[in-house]
Amino acid sequence: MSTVTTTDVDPYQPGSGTPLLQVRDLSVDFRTEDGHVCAVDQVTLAARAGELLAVVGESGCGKSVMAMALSSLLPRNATVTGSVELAGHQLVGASASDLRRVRGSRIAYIFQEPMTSLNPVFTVGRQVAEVLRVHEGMDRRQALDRAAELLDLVGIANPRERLRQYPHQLSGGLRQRVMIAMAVAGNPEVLVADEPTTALDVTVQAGILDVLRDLRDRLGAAVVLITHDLGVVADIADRVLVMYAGRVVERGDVHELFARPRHHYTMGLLGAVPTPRIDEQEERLREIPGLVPTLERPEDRCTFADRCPAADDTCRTHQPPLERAPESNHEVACWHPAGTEGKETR
Amino acid sequence: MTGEAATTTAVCEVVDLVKHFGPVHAVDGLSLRVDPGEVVALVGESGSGKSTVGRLIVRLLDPTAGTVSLGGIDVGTMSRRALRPHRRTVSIVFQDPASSLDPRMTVGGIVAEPLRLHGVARADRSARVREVLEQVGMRAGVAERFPHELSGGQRQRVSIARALVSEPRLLVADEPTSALDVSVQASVLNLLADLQRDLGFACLFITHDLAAVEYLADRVVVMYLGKVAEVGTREQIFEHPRHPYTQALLSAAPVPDPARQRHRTRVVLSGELPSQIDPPSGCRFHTRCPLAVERCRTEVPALREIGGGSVACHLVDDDGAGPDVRDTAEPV
Repeated sequence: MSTVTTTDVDPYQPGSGTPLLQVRDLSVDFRTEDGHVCAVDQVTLAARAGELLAVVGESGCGKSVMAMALSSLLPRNATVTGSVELAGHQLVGASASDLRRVRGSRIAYIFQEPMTSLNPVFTVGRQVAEVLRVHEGMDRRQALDRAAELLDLVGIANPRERLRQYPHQLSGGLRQRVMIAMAVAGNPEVLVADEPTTALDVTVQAGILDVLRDLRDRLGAAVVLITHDLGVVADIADRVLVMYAGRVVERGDVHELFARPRHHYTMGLLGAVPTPRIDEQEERLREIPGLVPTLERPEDRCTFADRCPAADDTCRTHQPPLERAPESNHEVACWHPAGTEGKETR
Repeated sequence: MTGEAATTTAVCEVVDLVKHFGPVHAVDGLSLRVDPGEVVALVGESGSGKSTVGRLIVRLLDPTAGTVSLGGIDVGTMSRRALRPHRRTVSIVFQDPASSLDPRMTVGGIVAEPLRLHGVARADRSARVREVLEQVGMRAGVAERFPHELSGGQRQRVSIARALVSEPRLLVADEPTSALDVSVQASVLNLLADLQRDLGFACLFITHDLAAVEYLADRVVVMYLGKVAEVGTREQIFEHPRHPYTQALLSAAPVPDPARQRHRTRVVLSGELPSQIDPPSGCRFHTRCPLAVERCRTEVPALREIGGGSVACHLVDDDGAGPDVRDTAEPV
């Protein structure tokens, strides 16, 4: 893998620290039997140490594909272009052996389904220890000791006992904690969590979010959290990136973005979530008519135009650039960003 | 709907309902009622037994013990044949519309099937199918299509149309929006709210999504490990939850507003849901309750009526006063 010198910080976040992970113009194109699908279109993002970046969007918006493209986890029919720099190493186009050195030790993943990601025929201990033996070169004894420490780190009680158990003997929440323990085993600088709490109950989810918070704060990891749950984002994210049809449509600081959403898609998403009613007013939930489109190739238009209440001819013929939204400190890709008629500043 | 005149007879009433699957105690002595035109939310986490209750009410499952009454008639032990006429009064919508619609039938056929089974003449069926498809916001042309040609939200509309075609008095909606995206979820919740208001059917809304509950429900029943922990009106449950489990559940669900969310007190429950094969003694929540005392470990708390609602907790006294687990939690 080629070593590149990272001199520029995230151009869209002036004044902040050097990112660990710098993604520029990342695009993913799939060849399928039904033709091409452009799943991710020119995504640029940066993840910094000790910071949690949430990538939000509905199914089909490309957020999981984008996450998997970061360390080339996609199948062969995917074409990835653009640049993914992880602490100076270029990952797009890197060789399999180079990627093996990076995965687990510099960038690690936590997936949604802990049941299908754990091997049912091996004990928890053996699976966590395997990571340590491969990445850290530990012997069996050392690896098991460290595995117990890791289970403790992610808040599993009686770790020694748990190491001897099989995945089916654990609850969903515990399995997800084991997945997190495996992900952090190689001390990765970047942790990508793809819907880690979606399959879990809220009381269990709260505990898992605490673990992620803790890893960010104590280990200083850069966490990229892929989610569709705006409640989770509000709870845990430092910065937010909203994706729609493969593109970044809005991004910025979490407080700023929730208080002053400028993209009509972001506003639609926020309005669609039932929130505890502060007054007794019978308010209808906001609906976004239509569906997320599947694009064959990048189009020079706003991909949300067909569902947008503010769309006009410009939107249908020119792609809006991601730039600073009026009267705000975050970026939006919209020709007609919502103004002050949005949510009031709290 | 006849409104006040019918208050004496519940659309659905279950008493001391028990369902065991072999050693698994899915539902263990649960009572609840749904009055005409009322939306009752049955809330609980996975493993609480809430879906089993829904299936027992529509008699997809036979109860181990206890009674299920629809409109005052005990249907819990009726033979399948005797049950038939009563099936019309209750319908169910499932979570996953992709697996609950027959892929080989057209939308029209799917929606007409309940009518066919109830012996409605073919000519009357198609008129009714058109009408109900329109009510769920779908064009008549959709009747010729197959489920795979529809989006998830459209498929769930078809499920709702199928459930409502026989004009049931009770709709059991089992996690109807959990498999859908937020924006689609919103349109299905809006649709359910509109239909319920316009058609006046009663609804048992089974869900784990507290935000949706607050949007739709008149009354809330909170379940934990096969038993009712607390019952109350929407206001009671959301503003003055009494059971420590209800309090913990409410505090754990994040609100989509960082300014508010980060100032909420959140209770992280220790451990996980205990096994339904060997449920804890005494109060089933005692193993995870931050407030549990000795009595909770040994004595099963009765579900007591307190101030218009009911609570099953030793720590809540008869005038409804009790501790709040949220006072014991560290702010986030």
